Amino acid sequence: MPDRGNSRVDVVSVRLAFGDRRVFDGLSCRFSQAKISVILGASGVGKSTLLRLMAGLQRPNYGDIWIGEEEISRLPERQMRRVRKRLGMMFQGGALLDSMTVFDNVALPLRERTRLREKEIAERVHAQFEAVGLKRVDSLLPGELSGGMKKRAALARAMVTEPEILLIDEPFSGLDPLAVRLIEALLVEVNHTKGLTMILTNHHIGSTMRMADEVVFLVDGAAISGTVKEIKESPDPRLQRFLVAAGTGPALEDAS
Amino acid sequence: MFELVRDVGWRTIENVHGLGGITLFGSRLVYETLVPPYRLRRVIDELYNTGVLSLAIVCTSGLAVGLVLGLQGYNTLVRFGAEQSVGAVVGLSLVRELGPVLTALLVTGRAGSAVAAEIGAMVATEQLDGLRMMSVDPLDFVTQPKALALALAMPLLSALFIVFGLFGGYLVGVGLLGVDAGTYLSSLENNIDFRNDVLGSLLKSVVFGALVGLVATWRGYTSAPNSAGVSRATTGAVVQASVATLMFDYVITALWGVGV
Repeated sequence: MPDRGNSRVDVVSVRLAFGDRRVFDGLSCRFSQAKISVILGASGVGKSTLLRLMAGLQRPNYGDIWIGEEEISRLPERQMRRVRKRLGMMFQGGALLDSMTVFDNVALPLRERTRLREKEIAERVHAQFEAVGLKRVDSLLPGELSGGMKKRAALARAMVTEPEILLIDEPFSGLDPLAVRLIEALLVEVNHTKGLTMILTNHHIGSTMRMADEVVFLVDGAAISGTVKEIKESPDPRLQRFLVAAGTGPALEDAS
Repeated sequence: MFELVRDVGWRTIENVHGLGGITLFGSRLVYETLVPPYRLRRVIDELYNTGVLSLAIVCTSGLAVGLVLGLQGYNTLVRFGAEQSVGAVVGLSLVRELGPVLTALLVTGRAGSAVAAEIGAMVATEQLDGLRMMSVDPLDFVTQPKALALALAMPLLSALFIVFGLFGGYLVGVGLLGVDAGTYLSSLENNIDFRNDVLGSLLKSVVFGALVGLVATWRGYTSAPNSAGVSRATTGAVVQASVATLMFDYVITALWGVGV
């Protein structure tokens, strides 16, 4: 067995198909401990599905998924609940419970998983609100928040239990450039201060290039991995086409 | 011919699979109800949503059904000179059949559909996955309180339906058509048997409540994660729960001996 850090994630020879549609065919990639890894790729290539595989919300047809030293792809749901205590996940739409206030949403994992008293829970929730830059949202319902605030509340909920690994699905989608910069800075700060392993899916090339330690580019059911520099300099034409279309590839940089 | 056999076979397998799925789902609901944590606060909230918010429609419908039963019963009985038995006709019809069955159909339409749609929407917006990621079992946290609330609310709503129905029959029989008030009430009292009628009615409403709760939460929980899935779950919950209510009504009547 290869040497695995406690919060490293390894995806090994994963195959996944929905009916006749093959999403991954022998996909292998690695996400290092305490780094920010960004999963990049065109729409529909399976970025969110890969996150769901790592979260155990989707099971592969074949292959292994390692969270640290534990292989999770065939764990029963009851045991998966134990593994998920090490994970936090921010969904693209937030996935906040509509019927609960923002405070109760963020307090929920603490109430369900810990024996903390209400006062301590309130302190931790408010500390999270402060960390993500949310003010006076305690009694609001998720439906009363803007898109950016919803994402921050979802991030607060994902981080409140202090997970080792944070899975983040499209944190910048639907946000204005200022909000993108704010969330980007927040994620980098959390990564640096808490040493979380962060795995993001992202369409936003600019933010990827600024914040990523590692990039996993998904194409044709497989992955091309490397640092930002390695990815930019990769000779793979599929990757270059994607970067050029996004305006950050060598072709455009040369032209400018 | 081969395709017909294949289709029939495939549908049979699908139906058996679905039946197995809902049975396992129901078993887990019962298990989560019996073992801690007991989510009393959430059950009370759901009782308000399914029970209290159904009061108006159930009471109004009960009154309307009682009014019609009183009128129809009187018009039929008067031909045989038996109009003094209108209380018994109204009471027996309501207690044995119309109370539990119509309440179940009304609650299915108002609360069962809402439960299926709400859970379906939670599936579509990844709220249930969000709970799973917090190591919270959505079946325990979301569906069990809703199913339990429906099962608990149904007998109470059915009782209210019957009371308002009896009052409706009284209004028409006594107030409008001139039947003696004492005769109406004594006819009711003398003809309604506690074991056969009242306990049978209670048993029916408990079973119907459990059925509606099970079908509505199951359809929502297994819905496809999109708007079409929510729509199918809602429609399916109403149709399946209504049909199941009517079929189980016959079974309980036959086995319990209600009205025999």
